[in-house]
Amino acid sequence: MAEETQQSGATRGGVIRLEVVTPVGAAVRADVDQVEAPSVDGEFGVLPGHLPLLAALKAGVVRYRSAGKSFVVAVGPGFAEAGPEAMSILTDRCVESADVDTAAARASLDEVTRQLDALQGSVDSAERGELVRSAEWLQAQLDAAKESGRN
Amino acid sequence: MPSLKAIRRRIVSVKNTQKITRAMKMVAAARLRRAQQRIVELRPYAEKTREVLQSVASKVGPEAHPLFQAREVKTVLLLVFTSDRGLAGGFNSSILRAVDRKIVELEEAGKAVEIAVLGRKGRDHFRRRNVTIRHDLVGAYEGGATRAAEIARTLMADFSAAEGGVDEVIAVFNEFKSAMTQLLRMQQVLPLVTPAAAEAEASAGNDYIYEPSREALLNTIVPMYVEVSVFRAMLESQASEHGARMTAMDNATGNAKKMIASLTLEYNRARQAAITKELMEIIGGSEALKD
Repeated sequence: MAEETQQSGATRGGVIRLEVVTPVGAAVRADVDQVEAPSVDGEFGVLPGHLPLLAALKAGVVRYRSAGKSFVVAVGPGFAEAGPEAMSILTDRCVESADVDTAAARASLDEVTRQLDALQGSVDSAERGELVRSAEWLQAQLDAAKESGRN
Repeated sequence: MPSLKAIRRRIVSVKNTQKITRAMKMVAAARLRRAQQRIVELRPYAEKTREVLQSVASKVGPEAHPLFQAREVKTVLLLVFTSDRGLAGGFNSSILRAVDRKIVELEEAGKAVEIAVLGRKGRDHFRRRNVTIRHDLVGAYEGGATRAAEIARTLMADFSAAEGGVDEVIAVFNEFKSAMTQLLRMQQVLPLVTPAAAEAEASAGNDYIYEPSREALLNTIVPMYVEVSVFRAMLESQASEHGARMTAMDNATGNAKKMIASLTLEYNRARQAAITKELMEIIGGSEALKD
């Protein structure tokens, strides 16, 4: 019964059951009003009542509003499955903006950037891909921290 | 009846064994807790990935991705998860027995079998036999998710290889149920098992909006699913190993306790018999002197 009420209300002012799942357990599990996530083609937003969507995600920032409060988390690459009343984000990692160690992240980012610059060889070598991925992940964490007002 | 000294020596020896098995049980219990937590955390992720993959697969059909496509099977690769150490009850032997049976079965059906093996116990077992070890993955457990992803990529490359590759990959591992029970699983990893046509029909109605495109999505999810399947089997196997060892060592400790009890009884009996004998001799001697 509760499900039905929720569904009819989903088009207007309903909630989305958001789940961010990683290999080390669910990082986020909340009823939210809206979600923004970074797809490989750019950011997209999901409101209640969304059509079934499957999106590939790159490392970036996920924002969501729950009970009037805004939350920011950094996620790694993965994908998102969204429906009218639920959205799952599957990613290899996820960290809340408050838990980002900005100093350490910035230091490692500098290090990775330096390695990238020094790297010779083909553009699509596995080594370069690895470095680019870690750079993107570090950048995502810094972005998340910055957005939630920390520096 | 063995001498008093011999019995005492045996009691000491069994007590020492008991100390060792008890310590091993404790260690296994601690490791089990960690391993169990990891697998329990991974399962929702693995399940969700599988769900999404299945629902996409049912909408796009098997032509959509090369890894969905089954072909005539000439070579089968068995990915076998064993442990590096023994003393884990039937953990390794049950898996190796099942694999040996499977090899015979496949070979009788005219298929070539190759092995990829994790764990020293499994590798040693297959080295003694006449089987092709295609990948020796001893030490892979320590590599965690990164190593699992590498293995998954190797498997996909094997499957996609134009020649000298394999046509089917089956993972054989113990699934963790509880410390007491492990379930032997044979799971086809490649080609990916997609829902049957009937099911596909039923859910084909509402297709997703894909961003950026269906092909791009499949190219993300399919490898991810293979990686997580391998990683999951790895964690299931580790948790099962520690569970099996804990149970085995608990039994061993119990058996040692029983043995000590019966040896102690025997010891006391022998001691009592010796005392009685001595008494009889003294009494006999003093009786003889009376006359």
